Amino acid sequence: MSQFTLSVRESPPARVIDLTGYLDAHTAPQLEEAFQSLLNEQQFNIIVNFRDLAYISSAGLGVFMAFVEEVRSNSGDIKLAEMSPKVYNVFDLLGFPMLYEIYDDEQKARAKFSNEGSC
Amino acid sequence: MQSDSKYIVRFKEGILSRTEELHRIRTVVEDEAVRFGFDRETAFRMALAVDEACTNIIKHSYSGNPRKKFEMEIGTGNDRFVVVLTDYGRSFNPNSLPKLDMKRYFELCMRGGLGVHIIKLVMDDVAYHITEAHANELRLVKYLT
Repeated sequence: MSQFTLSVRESPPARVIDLTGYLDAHTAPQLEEAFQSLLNEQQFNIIVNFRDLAYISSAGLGVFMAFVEEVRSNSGDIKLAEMSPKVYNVFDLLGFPMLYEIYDDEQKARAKFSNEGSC
Repeated sequence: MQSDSKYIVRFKEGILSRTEELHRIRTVVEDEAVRFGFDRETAFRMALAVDEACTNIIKHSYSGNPRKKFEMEIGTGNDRFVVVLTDYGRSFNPNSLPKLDMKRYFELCMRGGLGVHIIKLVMDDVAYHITEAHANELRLVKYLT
């Protein structure tokens, strides 16, 4: 059974990671690798699209914590978009909206990057 | 299980200490919680809490050894839903961890500890003890209120 897939696409001025399925301790290493690849390519404007993500546990949340400092220290950001209410509730349970910008529409996240003028 | 508990589910053969098992565990917990009377949202959170507890067993108690096994039992008694997890690895009492201050956690970009925090936020009672057989037993309780 394929529990989780991700893909990365260009959407200037950002790269978008699309998540599908279940993000837990079993699948979180895949997301970690994707972030590491983007950072290796000096891509620091990152949007994560949660539209097709059904589940996230702390293992998934931990991936965002692992990379946010390095991304922001390079004048970039990790912006989160299009979460289902169930997934948003997990972020909200732990207060993650304090640290991350969360948008209901990927377009708004992209526009924020454009307005910030970083690339 | 306590004497007034009505047994619902028990994995008699044990669960292999592998993260591949988390999906099946969550499905069972969520379905049984809904069957007992919890709404879908609460059941989803309970499955999350049990996922976190099982992840801690797999990663920390058994240090990722995929040949080890742990046990899970789900029971109910009156208005409560009880999940008991038993493993034979390294001892860890989640109640020994101080409550996380998430503002400080974010300011310092800290790592780890979120799983236990989630378990305590979601479940009404979290009890840990070492059995006479030297097993770690974690008892997670949620009340129907």
